[in-house]
Amino acid sequence: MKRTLGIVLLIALFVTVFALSGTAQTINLRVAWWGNQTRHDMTIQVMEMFEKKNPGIKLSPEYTSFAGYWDRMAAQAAGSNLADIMQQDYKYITQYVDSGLLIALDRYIGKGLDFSDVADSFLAPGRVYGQLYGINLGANTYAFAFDADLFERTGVKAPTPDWTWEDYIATLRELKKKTGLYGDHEFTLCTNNVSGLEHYVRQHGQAFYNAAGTALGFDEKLFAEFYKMDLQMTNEGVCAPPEVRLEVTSIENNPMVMKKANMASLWSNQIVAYEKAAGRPLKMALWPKMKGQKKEGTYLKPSMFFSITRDCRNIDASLKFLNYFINDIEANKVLNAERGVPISAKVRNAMASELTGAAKEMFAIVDLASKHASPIDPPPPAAFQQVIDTLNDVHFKILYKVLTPEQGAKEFFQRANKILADAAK
Amino acid sequence: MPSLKKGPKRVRSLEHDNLAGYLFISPWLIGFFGFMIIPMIISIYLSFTRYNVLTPPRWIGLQNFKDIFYDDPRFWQALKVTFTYVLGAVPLRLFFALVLAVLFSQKRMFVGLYRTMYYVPSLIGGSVAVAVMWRQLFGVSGALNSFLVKIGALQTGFGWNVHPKTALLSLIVLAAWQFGSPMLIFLAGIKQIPASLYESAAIDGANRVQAFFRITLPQLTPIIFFNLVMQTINNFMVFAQAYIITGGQPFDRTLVYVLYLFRTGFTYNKMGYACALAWILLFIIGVLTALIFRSSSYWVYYESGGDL
Repeated sequence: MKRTLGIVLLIALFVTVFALSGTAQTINLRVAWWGNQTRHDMTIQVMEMFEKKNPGIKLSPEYTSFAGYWDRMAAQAAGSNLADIMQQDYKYITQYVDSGLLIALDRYIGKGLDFSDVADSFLAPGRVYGQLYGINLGANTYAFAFDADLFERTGVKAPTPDWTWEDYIATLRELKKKTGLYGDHEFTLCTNNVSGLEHYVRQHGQAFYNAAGTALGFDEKLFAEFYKMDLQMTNEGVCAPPEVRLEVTSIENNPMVMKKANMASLWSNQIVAYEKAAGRPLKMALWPKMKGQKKEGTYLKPSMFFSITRDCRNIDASLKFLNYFINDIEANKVLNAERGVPISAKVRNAMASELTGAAKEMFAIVDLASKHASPIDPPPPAAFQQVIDTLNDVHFKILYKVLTPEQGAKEFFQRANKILADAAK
Repeated sequence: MPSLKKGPKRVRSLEHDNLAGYLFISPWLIGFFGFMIIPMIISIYLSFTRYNVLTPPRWIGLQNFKDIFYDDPRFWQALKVTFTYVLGAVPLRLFFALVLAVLFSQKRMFVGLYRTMYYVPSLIGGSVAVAVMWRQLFGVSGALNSFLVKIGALQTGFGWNVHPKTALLSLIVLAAWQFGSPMLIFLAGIKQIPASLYESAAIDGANRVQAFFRITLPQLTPIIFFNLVMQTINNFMVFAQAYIITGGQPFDRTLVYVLYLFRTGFTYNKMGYACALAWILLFIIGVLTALIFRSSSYWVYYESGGDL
């Protein structure tokens, strides 16, 4: 008898413990994003403001760097435990929609989501197969950042929107000569990134991937040409040697921020974080054009999306938060357009009058880019991360002189095309 | 009749005993089944599928294994890196562990303090903080380079962690530095050696070096054997250090096996392929461990006569 009682008590204890941990007075929502310290601070502040206005809802932040974010999301997806609201990216959203992990939001427009001040062109990139899965958090473009007084101070001619690759290289060399610092630690964007090469490819009227996403979509010789320029600049010491590039892991230790380089490439929305990390005013310029280019290499991209996931526990509360995030003027003043130029016209107008520093610079460059851009290419195929890793691999073999740019081109095309073909099987 | 009646009752009470027992070890059981056995069984299944995590797995038979062996240069690169790492790290770690254990087994001033201090790196060993510190220490503008530049050995900073010639070496040095746990085991082993052996050796006129090679070392062979097996297994599974310090860079020179496995599974979303890689690693470690066990009869000395 005693023993039975003991067991019953033990079971009762277990049940109580489980039950207690399950009871919730408030709605708990998990919000996941990637970013830097600036974004983390501002987003958390806005979440707290939201909680104050909505006492029944409790938000818990889950944030990491970009690289760690997708590993984490894949693990959460596998465990059917995705955050309620997740930040999404143009490169990943199709894959997530294909897997049924995101919720289509069209039927909530007007019923929970207020888009009366949002132009449809801003919503368009968040549509997959005609349905809205991602709410655009801002418009974005690639650009260079540098000290606001760099070109006055050094007497080097400041870049114009129409400058060419030749001008860019000449400017980097002159900056190096005048300041002794790297012109730029990168040659546009190369490390762990296809963007520099993609820009060059687009200017030739070609696309990085073919339409079906089953192979690369451009000429092998463009690869060799582009990395020949990079290698030349690195050999001259105008761009940083590979070991310096490999050690750049965050905005905080970016060579431009640390005053070891004159320029840095970034997404325009990142200027807010760069300026905060650098602690001095920065300006931006567009990436160079190509003499006789077939089309503009520059494009406008939705910086990122917020999506509601399949595992969301309370859609109404999630919509409420998204609505607040997009439309609330006070919230957007705190967010300071760090995720890109806001999509709500009402918010933009309210902010325009009091824009300062980095945010003002960002609004200006996005506006400028819209006059020098061609439409964005379709999202890359699902195996793009393997292609980027392969590119990075070959890129450093070139910089460490294991391969010539021509040999690198051959190796990259062979390996990347195989990856893309295998993935399409 | 009464005996018949008594029988079942007894069995029932025995069952109750078992139930209580299972309940008490349930936290461990839940962990063991939930986080070990069941995932392992699932991963066997997944290794025969194409599974991108986001959509349901698709059965493809042995295709993953075929691809790995016949069509994946990065697999062979990862194997090469891992074997180099293990062949470098394990002997170095065991060597330092043994030398320091011998030093610390002597009765000297502050020996306890030193023991603790040398154990600290292993306590924090696998942690992210140490890896981050290592990255700083050996970085282009890190402490080591500052020193080398100051004494004139180098003109400018050298990227120890990222240069193709030294990146793997920097990981091996980090592993060697974390010799604390085998050191403790060696220490315990040395304490077990009967003092009488040393006394009689001293009477016979043996010096310290002779005593070490003739007594300490042979007596310690079972411990060396144990440490060798444990360290080999552990070092094959190295991950955090490579993930944080080098990320496999430059061009896969530090792509240790588990890092490649992780990339395949979580970055490329090829989870079935990653499961296949995991089982191949298990097989390799199993074979190597068996080989070390086999070899033990040639060099491990057991007082009892060597019956395992």
